[in-house]
Amino acid sequence: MKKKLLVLFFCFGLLVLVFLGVRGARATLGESVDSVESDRKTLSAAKVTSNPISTAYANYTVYQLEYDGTTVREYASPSGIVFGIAWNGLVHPDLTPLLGSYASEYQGALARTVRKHGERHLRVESDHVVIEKWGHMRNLRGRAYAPDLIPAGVNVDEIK
Amino acid sequence: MKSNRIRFNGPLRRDRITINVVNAFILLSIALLTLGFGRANAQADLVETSVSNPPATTIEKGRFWVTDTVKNEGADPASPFVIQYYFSATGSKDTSSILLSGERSVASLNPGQSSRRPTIVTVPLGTPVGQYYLLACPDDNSCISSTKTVQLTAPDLVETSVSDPPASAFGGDSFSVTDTVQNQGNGSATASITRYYFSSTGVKDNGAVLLTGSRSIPALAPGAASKGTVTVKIPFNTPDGIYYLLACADDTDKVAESNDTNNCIGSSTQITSYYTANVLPITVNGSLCSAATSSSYPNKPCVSVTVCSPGSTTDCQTIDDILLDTGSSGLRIFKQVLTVSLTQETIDSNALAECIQYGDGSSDWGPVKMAGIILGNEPAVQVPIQVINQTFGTPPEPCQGQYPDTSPAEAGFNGILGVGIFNPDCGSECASYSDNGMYYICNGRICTGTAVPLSSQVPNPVALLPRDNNGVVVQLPGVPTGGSISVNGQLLLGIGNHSNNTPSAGVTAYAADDNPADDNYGEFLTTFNGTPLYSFLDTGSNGLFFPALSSLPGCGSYNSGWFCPSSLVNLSATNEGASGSPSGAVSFQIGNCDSLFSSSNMVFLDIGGDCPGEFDWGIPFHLGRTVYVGIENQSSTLGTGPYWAY
Repeated sequence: MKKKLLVLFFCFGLLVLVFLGVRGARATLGESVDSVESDRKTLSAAKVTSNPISTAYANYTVYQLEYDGTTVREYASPSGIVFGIAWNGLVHPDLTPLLGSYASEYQGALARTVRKHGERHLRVESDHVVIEKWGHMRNLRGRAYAPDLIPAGVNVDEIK
Repeated sequence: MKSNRIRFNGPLRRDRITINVVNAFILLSIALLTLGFGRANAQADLVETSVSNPPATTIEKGRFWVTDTVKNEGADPASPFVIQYYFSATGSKDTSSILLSGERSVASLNPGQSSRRPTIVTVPLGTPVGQYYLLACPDDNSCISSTKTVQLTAPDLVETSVSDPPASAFGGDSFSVTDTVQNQGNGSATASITRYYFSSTGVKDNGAVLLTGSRSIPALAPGAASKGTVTVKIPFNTPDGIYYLLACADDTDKVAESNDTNNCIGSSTQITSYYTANVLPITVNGSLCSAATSSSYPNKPCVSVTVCSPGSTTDCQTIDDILLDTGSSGLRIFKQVLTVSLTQETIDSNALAECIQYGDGSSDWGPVKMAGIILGNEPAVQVPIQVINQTFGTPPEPCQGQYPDTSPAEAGFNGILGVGIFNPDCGSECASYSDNGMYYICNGRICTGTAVPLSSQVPNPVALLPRDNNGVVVQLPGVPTGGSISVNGQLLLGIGNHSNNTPSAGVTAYAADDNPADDNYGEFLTTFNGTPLYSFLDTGSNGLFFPALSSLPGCGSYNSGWFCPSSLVNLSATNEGASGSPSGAVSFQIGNCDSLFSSSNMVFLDIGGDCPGEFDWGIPFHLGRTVYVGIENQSSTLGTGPYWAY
C-alpha cells in the first residue's frame, strides 16, 4: 500500500536524491533551509534521530527526517524557503519550533477554534498559516503550510 | 555389632557405649518377643462368647452400641489385643464381610478371664442395602455372630418428572422449571437440593452446564415426593447448543442413597441456547452516554465497562459513557470517575505513564495502572489501563498540546475503550526506542521517555480474553436520512467462534498493513475521486472524513470542518486490502450538516468533513452494517489480523 502511494507521490517528478551531510538539520516554516544551524539550537539536537534525506521535485525540494518517532517532511521552494511541513508517526511533533515565527499566530487561531468532539481531525487557519491534523493511533498525520509562500504550480495537496 | 567392638581399638567412647546399650535392648526385645509374648499368645485361646444383637434397621453412617464378651480359654495369659466388628450377610467372616468403624482394645487377659464392654460402631459409607449379621472378631478365626440381623436401609432420591424448557433462549435468560423428586428407597432421606443442567446428551456428563437456581427439598420418608417450581437462569457463557434440561436430585450429594446413578431426569424436548457472554450493548447517543459529556457530540457510540481492583471480584465499579473506539487500542478512564483503587505499573521502580494523542490533536495523559476489567459478561481480565489524569507528574510536550483531556466534560467521555486492530497500543517502536513520545517514566514530577516491552504496554483488552480474543464485531442499526435521536447496537467480542459473531457468507475481509519492516500503520486503501488514500475504519470518528470535492462545500463557521452541500450528494469509493485485494465499492451520501445538526437528532448516516490526506470511515459507515475488526496476529474464519471485514 505504501509503495503504491509512493509511486503516486513520485509521479510529481523525482529529479534527484541526495543525502545531506548536515547533522540534525532542521528548517522552520517561512525560513531558509540554510538556517539549519540556528534551528538546531532551537531544538534539542538529541531529538533528531537521523540525517535528513532530500528529494528534489520540479517546483520544490522535500527534506525528510525522523524526529521523536515521527517522520517530518519539509517542503522548500526553489529559492530555499520552507513553505510547508508534513508529518506522520506515533505523535504529532512539537509545532512551536517547526512553525517558527508563525507559532504565535497559530496559537492565537487555535485558541479561537472550538473543539469538536468526535471529529478526529483538526484544521486551524489564520491569516498566514494553516495547520491540519488527522490520522489515528500509530500513525498520526498532519501538515502546516504558509499559503502565501507556496510556489506557483504547486498544489497544496502535494504537502502530505 | 560384635565386630564393631572387636575392631574398636581405642578407649571406649561415650557414643560407642550408647550403641552397645541400644544393641542390647534390641536383643532383649527380640528375646522377649520370641520366648515370652509369642509363647503366651500361642497358649492363650481367645473365644467370643456373646455379642449383642444389632438394631433392627440402620443406615449408612448409622451408629449403634455393640456389647460383646471375650474369654481367654487358654493356659497362658493373652497379650493385649483388639476386637473388630463386621457386617456379614452369611453370619460368618468372609471376604464380603464389611468392617465397621469402631473397635475395642482389650488389655491382657489371664487364663479363664473374660472381658465384656459396650462399643460404638459406625456403618461405613457405601455399605449396600441388605440384611446383615453382626460379627465380633478378636481375630479372624474366632468370630461370633449375632442371632438377629440388621436391615440396612437407604433412601433413593429419584427425579420422576421435569417440565420442558422453552424452545430457545439466550445466556442470561431465566425460565421456570417444575419437577418432582421422590424417595424410592426404603430409608428416610434428609433434606436435599435439586439442581438443574443443560446437557446436549441428556445425561449429566462433563459437558453439562449448571444453571443458576436450585430447589430445596425437605426430608422425605420412603415413598414421599416433593413437587415444586423454581426459576433458573442460563449462565451467560453457556456455549451455543441444543440441550436437554436436566433436574438432578440431591445434586450436592448430601444424602447417602442406595443408588446415586438415578438422580437425574431429562426433559422430553430440547432448548436451543445462544452464547451471550461476549455481548456489550452500544448506545449511539443513548442511555449509556452521559448527558454531561454528550451535548454537541453527534454519532457518539457509548458502552459500559466494569473495572475492579486487581484480582478482586467485589471491589468493582461499572462505568458508563465509555467511548467505543475501534481506531485505537487500550482502555483509558478518567481519574475523576474511578472509585476503585488500581495498582501503579512501574519500570525500575518508576511510575509508568502514557501520552496518547488522537488525530484531532487532543491527548490523554496519565499513569498506567493494573486493573481487573470485565467486558460484557466475560471473565475478568487483569490488564494495564491508562488512568487519564492531566495533573499526574509533568505532562510531556505531546500531552501539553492543544486539547489535553483534563476532564470527562472536556474530552466528551468518561473513558475510551480501544478495541481496534492493534495489540498492544504502541507496538515495536515503543519497545525499541525511549523517545517514542508515548511512554514515560515519572519520578516525582519529572517524566522522561522510556522504552516499554510489548508485554508491559497497554493492551487491547479483548486480546487478553480467554476465548473471545481474536477481534470484535460492531453491529449498529441503520438510521433514516435526516437522522435519529439515538440508536442501540451491540459490540460482540470474538469473531467466528459463536453463533452471534460468525460472519455470514457475504462478508469480505480487507487486510490492514501490518508489516513492521515497512510500516505498521494499520491502514488499507480507499480510492476516492480517482485518488488513492490511506484509510481505516473507526467507530471513534463520528463522520466520514476525506478530501473535499467541489461538490462538497464546507459549512459555515459554527460547523466548520463539516460538509454542507445544498442537497444530498451521492458518492462512491473503492476499498482495497493492503495487499491490493480484495476490492469493493462503497456507496455513501453526504448531507448538509448545518441543517442536520439544527434538528434534535444526534445520529446521522450522511455526515462528513474535509480531511486532506486520508479516508476515515467513521460511524456513518457502521450504521446499518456489521463490521468485523480483526486484531493483529490473531486468526479467525476471516483470516489473520489486522483486518476489517464487512
